[in-house]
Amino acid sequence: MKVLTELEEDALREIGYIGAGHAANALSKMIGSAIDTDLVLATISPVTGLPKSVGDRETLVTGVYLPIAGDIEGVTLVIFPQKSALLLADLLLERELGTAKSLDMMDESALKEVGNILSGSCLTALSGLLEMHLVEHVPILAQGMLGALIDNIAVQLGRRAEQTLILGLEMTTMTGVNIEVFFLMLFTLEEANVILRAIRARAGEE
Amino acid sequence: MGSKILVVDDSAFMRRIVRNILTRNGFDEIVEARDGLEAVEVFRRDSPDLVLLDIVMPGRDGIEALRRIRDVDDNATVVMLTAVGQEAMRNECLRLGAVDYIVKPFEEERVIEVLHRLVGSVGG
Amino acid sequence: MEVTKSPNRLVTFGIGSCVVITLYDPVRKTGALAHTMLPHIEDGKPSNNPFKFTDYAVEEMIRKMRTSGSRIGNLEAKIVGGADMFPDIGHGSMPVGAENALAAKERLRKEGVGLAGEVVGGSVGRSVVFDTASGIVTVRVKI
Repeated sequence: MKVLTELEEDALREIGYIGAGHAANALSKMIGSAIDTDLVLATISPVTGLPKSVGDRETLVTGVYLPIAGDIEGVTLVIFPQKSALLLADLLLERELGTAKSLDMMDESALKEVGNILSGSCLTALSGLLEMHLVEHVPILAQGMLGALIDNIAVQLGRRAEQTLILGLEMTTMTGVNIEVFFLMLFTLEEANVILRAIRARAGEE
Repeated sequence: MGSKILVVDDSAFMRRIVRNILTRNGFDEIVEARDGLEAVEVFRRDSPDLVLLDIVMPGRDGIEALRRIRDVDDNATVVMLTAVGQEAMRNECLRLGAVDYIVKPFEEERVIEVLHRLVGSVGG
Repeated sequence: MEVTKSPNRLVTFGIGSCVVITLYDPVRKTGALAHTMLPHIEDGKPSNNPFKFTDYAVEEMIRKMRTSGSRIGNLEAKIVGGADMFPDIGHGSMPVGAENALAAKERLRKEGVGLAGEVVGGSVGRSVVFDTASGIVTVRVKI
């Protein structure tokens, strides 16, 4: 179900590139080597109808949940497909790739930091679009089926999020390791209008 | 005698990163705390020369910890560890007596520059 | 929400704090499945889909089964889900998953429908397959 027109998606993509740039920069510092980042997805979709590329409801993922406050009260979720989560943990903890078969407490701590930083990168870019001040809080991590994580997040703070903004990033390290990550910002229909208006203004439609 | 550094962050990973940067640069007297409460206890017990303090810990903990540490010793040298976009909290901390801040993710040169400026070269 | 005759399989993938409630009539071999997100419809807004609310959906399922010929006394209910995927989030009150499970049980009890089984709580995602021919509910988890 398309929420945005092509023009609007282009406008959102511009923002996505900025976020991806910040993210690549930040992640390079964290793993100590250069990272190439490609924006592979920039869209708004219903929470119940995520694009297939994010995964399906049973796909195992690691999710880092970050509530945000400021001019919009919202909920962000950084999703790593499980394979990417394990590779990223190996990179951050300077282990041979493929070592981690599951995440221990230090791995989880590392991924929470990445989630924190990625979310910050995307929110900084979005703050520019929305001309709003958005601040994140403490990250919380969970692993499990994608549908289950989304369910829980969508009802946080007693509100039902119906739409989500999604930025999909594909990151490649110097040694050719591919890591996928998705940044989601969930909001209610009312808040969606604020965001859509800002995107339309950026797209030159208003 | 070398300088003793207290690292406060709720993230085990961030504490490890900071510890690695410090030990690589000759600072090997390092104590850690996971939250504001532990930070004040360790500060009292170990009298570090410098505190690296994360701003965003659960429950406004970073700012509270800063207050309490400066209550214990108003000459305490505290540097805030902040994420991008935390300007308001950062400024509040500077007002409350923090002397500087470092933005995550850390650049080693920046961390070391701050440390050398505030506690001089390492001893040990 | 779906009400159907057998043979049929009703499936829901990847539920977290949501609950799936199944109703089975072993005599007429019909079944219904509802997948709900929030416990009480009075907390919602007029524009929301009412079937997303546990108490409303359970009441409606029972009504539909009854008007299509089922006797309340024959109905068997099962509940799956109500997990808390992020238990580290400090909850002031009960987490939504637990509230959903409770709302389902209360409504079933109020309507006089017996609970034949439940797989609720924890912090694991689940998928549910309901076979309306046999009444068997299969719960799948992935770790």
